[in-house]
Amino acid sequence: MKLKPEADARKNALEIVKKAVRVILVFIAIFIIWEIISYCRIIDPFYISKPSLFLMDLWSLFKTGYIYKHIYVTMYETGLGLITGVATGLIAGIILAYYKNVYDIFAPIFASINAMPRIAIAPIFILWFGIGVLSKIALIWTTVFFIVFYNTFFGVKNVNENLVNAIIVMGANRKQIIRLVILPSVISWLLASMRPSVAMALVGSIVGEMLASSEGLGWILIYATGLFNVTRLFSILILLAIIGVALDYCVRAMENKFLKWRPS
Amino acid sequence: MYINIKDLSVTYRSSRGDVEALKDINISIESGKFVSIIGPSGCGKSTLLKVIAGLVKPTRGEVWINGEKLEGVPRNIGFVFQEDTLLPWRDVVGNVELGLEIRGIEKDKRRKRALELIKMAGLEGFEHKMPHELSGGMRQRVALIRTLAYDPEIVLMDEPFGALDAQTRVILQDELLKIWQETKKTIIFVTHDLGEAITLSEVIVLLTRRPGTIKRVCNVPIPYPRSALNVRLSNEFTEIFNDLWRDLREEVVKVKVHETKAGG
Repeated sequence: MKLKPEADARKNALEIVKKAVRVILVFIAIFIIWEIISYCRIIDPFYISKPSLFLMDLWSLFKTGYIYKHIYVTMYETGLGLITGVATGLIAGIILAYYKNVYDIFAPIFASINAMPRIAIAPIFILWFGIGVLSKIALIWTTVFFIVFYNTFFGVKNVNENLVNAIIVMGANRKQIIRLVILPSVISWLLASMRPSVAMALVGSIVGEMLASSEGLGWILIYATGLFNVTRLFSILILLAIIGVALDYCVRAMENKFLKWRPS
Repeated sequence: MYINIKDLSVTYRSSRGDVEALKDINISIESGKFVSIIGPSGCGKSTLLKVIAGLVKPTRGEVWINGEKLEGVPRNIGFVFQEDTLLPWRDVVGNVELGLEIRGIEKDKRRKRALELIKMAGLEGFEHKMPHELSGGMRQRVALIRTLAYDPEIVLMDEPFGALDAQTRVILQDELLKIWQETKKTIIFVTHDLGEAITLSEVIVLLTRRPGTIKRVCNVPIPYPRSALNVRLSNEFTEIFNDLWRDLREEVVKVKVHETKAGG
């Protein structure tokens, strides 16, 4: 294998193409079966629409430019919710892992909030922050914060003590210990929390928009449901699936980039 | 007197009761000496090193270094651990310059010093390899030059070659002897390998089984420069070995009997 690296690369590329083709074929098959079921009225198309219809609808949503604003709003909420949740969760995780007395105060509070079904907090957020983006960001924050907080907390607690001792002996102060050992080892735990965080952030923005809003993909879903527009529902669901997969792909790419130092 | 240990005792508190690790240790180590500490496993050898490094607080007694009573981590100390303590997310250069970075030395200077040491250790070409890409022997070499990089006056070594194969061990022992003769640092070397202790050191401190007390302090009258392989063939080596082995064996056997009794 060492003799022909270029042949190896070509073989890998071929594998990836093969895999992609297989996935696409599976989806095409599902859509064809779906189309037939709908066309032959085995199930009433009123409930399940038709792939030909919702794919055309999705196309027109982009062509007319109607969808861009809503994608932007949903992504804006998801993004800001993620950033605030990750930043605060990271800081809180480090502080609580480091300072026992702060932990004793906050740990039970965090545990009880985390035990609550987060969606139950949504009405009070709408009351406080209105139906705009702020209430959604707050809702996302409550989910992402805890995922990141607990991962960071256990990450700090699991820091290799030998590494810490080694740099203490070199004369490192507390700040340097955090920067040189704790943060880098926590990053691997943090990255592990990123995939569920991103997924939960998307859920948070959509659910928030469905409860009360005037824009965003979640709002389109509720609006279309009100009009019994099943075709529109499916076009948005397909769009959300694509967005979800794309975000997940980005997170995994980030993981691979930052965890290069790990033995594979 | 460079390092002065007075009436040192260390007791570990644990949920299953107190464990007395070291008891009434009194010893003075002169500047520039190569001292080995040897004893049966669990006799508190490593604890003694950790006390000198400021990582473990003495329960009773005092440690004086260069006329100053030890409080916290001493400034000019290096520690080579048995465990792998290279930062896994940093390449070889990044690890070697760690101590200088902690001391706030500017980037160009510390990099230059790190590259010099890497060259000295025969690790050229591995500057940008990650620790997991190196063999165990190479990793300990990096750990050793990482300690030398910031030029500590005292180097503490806790079974640094314990996990290496016999051949690599001899090579690294030779390198350590060479480095010590060139730099004349004070080295305190913990090992359970009597042969290694005789090969390397001027003075051997033999500890009893737990709680560790000093059983015997013995000079090794083999002249330097020594070669790790040839030293073992000399008559002096065999003499000292047999002499010390009787005392060491006594302690090891006591541990075994003790364990059997406790087990039965």
